[in-house]
Amino acid sequence: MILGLTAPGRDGGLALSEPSSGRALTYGALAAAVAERAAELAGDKQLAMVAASCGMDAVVCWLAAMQAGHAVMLLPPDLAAARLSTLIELYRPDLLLGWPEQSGYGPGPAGFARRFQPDGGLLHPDLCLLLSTSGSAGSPRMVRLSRRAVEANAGAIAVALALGGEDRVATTLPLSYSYGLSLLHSHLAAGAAVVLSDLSVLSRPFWDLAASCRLTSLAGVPFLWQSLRRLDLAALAPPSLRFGTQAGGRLDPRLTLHFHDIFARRGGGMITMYGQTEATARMTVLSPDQLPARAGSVGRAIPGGAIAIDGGAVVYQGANVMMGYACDRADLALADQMNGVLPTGDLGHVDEDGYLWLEGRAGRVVKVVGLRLDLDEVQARAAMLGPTAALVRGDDLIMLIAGAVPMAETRAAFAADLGVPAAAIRWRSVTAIPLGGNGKVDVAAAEALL
Amino acid sequence: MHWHDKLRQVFRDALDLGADAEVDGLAYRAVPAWDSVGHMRLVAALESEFDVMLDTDEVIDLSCFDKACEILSRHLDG
Repeated sequence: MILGLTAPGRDGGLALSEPSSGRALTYGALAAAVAERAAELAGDKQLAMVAASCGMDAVVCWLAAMQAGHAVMLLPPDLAAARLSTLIELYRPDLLLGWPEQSGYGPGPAGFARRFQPDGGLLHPDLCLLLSTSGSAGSPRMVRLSRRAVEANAGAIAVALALGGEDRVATTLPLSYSYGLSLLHSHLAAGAAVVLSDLSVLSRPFWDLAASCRLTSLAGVPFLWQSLRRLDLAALAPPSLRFGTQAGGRLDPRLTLHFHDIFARRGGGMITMYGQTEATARMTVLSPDQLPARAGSVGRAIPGGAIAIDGGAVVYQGANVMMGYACDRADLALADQMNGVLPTGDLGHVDEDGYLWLEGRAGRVVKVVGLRLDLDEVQARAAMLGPTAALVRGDDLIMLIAGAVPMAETRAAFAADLGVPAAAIRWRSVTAIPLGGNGKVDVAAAEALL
Repeated sequence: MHWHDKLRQVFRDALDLGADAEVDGLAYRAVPAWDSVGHMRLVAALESEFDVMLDTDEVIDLSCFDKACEILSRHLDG
């Protein structure tokens, strides 16, 4: 069964708990629920578009859809209505979960809504999961992942993190985001427990839950760890919490060591990871026993994976590499275009012991509050507001604009369009945007204006 | 200006809300602007505008506008 839910010795162990409702499922109960719904969903391969809420019913439903051999596209549950409509038009899903009352859909099996007039477009037999490369689904482009890639990455992460039946993690990242989903999948693959919660780590209810559920690790992107830096984590975290994991962008090594010290005193440590949605989730892991000596490295390739450097650029090879991208339904018929090799677009070097050190991006793709943005695309989207230059300072997206800064409503709409919190965008009025000879924004000159 | 009015302005600026936005009923994560990024901006703005230091408990208890009033009153009136 998917993710080895029925593996020997797991039956009575806790798989999922949902503190908001008080419900919990053992591995035996989860496997039974998945099998039951998968039977209801049996039939020709279909595309299911799912609101990836941190709820037990939703998780069981999409695991069942995968188990039944369907392709599942996981999207943020709070996706803007206009964006959802665009995605439905482009991908014409046969099944919907979590978005009731969509026109053209009626009641279907296992809690899904069913399309009245099925598209019938071919879905490649290997296709299992579709994820957006921007954590917020700002772009309709999706990563196509096979069942083999999903299973391989879940298993490899479980091994690299030495996860076992005693481990408990909460869903502190959206499940539509590859890092968040990898928490769920890797813990299930290891027979560990996942606490389904959408509480903010920066709120007291989360820490009450961390204590009552005896969480053993905390997962976050750099923004979370930067925020926790100003809090007294040693006092906040219950004694059970011994590991921190970090991925989704570069964290200052000093912060890695700060948190490593706190966790090491409890017999654990800080785990740095590197990955991309194009590799399902993870590519490398830095074991805490390499700290402090290798602080700043993202570690070694996960089991079954390999890292190579080609002209300074990082190339990953492994079973977890995507089949390719998709921009619409027709692309879902495509076979594997990658052959297990992923040019990451990141620059870096590998030391004599195989540890990877990243040195930046080859293009203008950046991370803003954990979300991946292509600055050239941001500028293109802002074109209707006037001449702009998109830059990044720390964790902020800086928009230089020639003339007046747009009204608050316009700024909010632009942020929503990008899928970025409005507060993460800083607008600066300038007299003119510096352009290079090719008519494009002169980035160096624009940076000099800051 | 009473500090409550200043607090309302700090909320509007930190969360990038409109100049006349109603903030008295605002709660953490009840509006898109007050997400975790907005939360930390709000904490930083409160600290710099009112020249106070919020401790760990205050940062995680800052769940709504009223709570911010309560926390600040401890620092300012106490």
